[in-house]
Amino acid sequence: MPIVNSHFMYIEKLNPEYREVFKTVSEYVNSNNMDEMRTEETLSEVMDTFLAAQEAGKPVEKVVGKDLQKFCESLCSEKGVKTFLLGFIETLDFCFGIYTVLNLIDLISMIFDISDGEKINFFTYRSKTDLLPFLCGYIIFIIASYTAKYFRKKYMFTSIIKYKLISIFIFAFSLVFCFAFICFLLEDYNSENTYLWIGLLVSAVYLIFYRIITKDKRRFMKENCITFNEFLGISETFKNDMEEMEMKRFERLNKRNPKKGKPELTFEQFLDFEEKNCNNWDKKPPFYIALAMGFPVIVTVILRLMNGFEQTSDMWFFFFILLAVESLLMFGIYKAGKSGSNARMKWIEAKRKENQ
Amino acid sequence: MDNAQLLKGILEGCVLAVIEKGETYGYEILGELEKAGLEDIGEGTLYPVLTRLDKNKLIQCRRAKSPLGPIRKYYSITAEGTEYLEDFRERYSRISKSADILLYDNSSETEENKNANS
Repeated sequence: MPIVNSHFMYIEKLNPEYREVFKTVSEYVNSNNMDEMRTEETLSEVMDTFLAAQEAGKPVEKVVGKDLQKFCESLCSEKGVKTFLLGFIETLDFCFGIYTVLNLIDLISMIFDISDGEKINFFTYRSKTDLLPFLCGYIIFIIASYTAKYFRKKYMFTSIIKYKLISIFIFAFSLVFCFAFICFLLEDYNSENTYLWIGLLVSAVYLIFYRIITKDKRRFMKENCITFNEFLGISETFKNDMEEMEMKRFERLNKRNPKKGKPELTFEQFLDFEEKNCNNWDKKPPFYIALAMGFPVIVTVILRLMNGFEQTSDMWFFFFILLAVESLLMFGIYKAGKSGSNARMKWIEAKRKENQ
Repeated sequence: MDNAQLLKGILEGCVLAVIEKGETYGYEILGELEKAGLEDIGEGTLYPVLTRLDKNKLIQCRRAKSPLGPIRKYYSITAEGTEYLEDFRERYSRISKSADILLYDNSSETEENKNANS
């Protein structure tokens, strides 16, 4: 599973002095409403310089100078209009994503109505979501969040109290807005909503437009990926958690074994035992495939016996939807488990090398 | 006035000259500038300069994972950049000579240099 090699993965590698400054720089850069690629590039460049300077034993002031605000301002001084517009479009992406999903749900519901024998004209069928209030609501949210970010940026270095208040305001406002947004979505507008075909067309046009203008971003993400195992190797927190988890497991096994009449394990034997467990994981895909298939079959049969389906087509539709969801879920669990066992194997190898 | 302000006009040329020597990256450029005595230049000053040079197509960059882990941008000079640098060197040479005359009143020395060169 590839992950973008992002700057935040390395924050634990910085010493407290550098980390504190980096957090401030990161917050300032993120308040500049630049597009994701530009933000990532800027912060990765700073992170790389900080890591290199730290390795060379330089104090952080030597890199950022005496005036941190000036450093941050210079860093974002060449941002330009293009990056601001791209950032705005990227923020809209979330709104259009939800809108597209809601329209697709309406489309499925329309298909169901047609399959039930209702006479429906696609061009006069209205969506349950109205485009204009939806879009206006989201744009108001963006404007409010941009204003808050502007003030946050302004007071970041001058007034900690104002800065903290604004941070709290952003958080509270986002919460209230999310709540209002959910209430708005739950409201049933029946009369004069946008035609479904218009909604679908707007979504399609936006998605095509978005794909074209974010071509560079996608290429950037593709070119700068690391594998999940590399990510686990970078993360200090993960390494510490892994160590703690395995040592607890070792202690637990040695408490349990004497009770069962088994001998206590040496650390070497424990490592062999863990390796065996990890290898066992590879033999489990057939079990997960069977589980993914079995669960929808059992649920469908039970519902069928309880007369839960009006028609046979409904039953098949339910079965395939459940199968698709279940398969995706199982695949995700399997991949996560596999990555976990790979990380454990790496830990085992590292421990064996340490013991030699 | 701090040094950064004074350097504003010539920093682009200096950075370009460092990149001309071979493919390099941000921290290495800072090191080279520091070695040359420009210690006040930090990442905050250098980054906008590199962005400007890239935008004007005077340098090109490729991204790769640095030995320390994060994404690193490696810069190299373009043909346009080499041309610009040559032009910059000529202009800078003329301006610095004139500035020397005005600041230190060493016109006679400059004349001597001219004669020696010819």
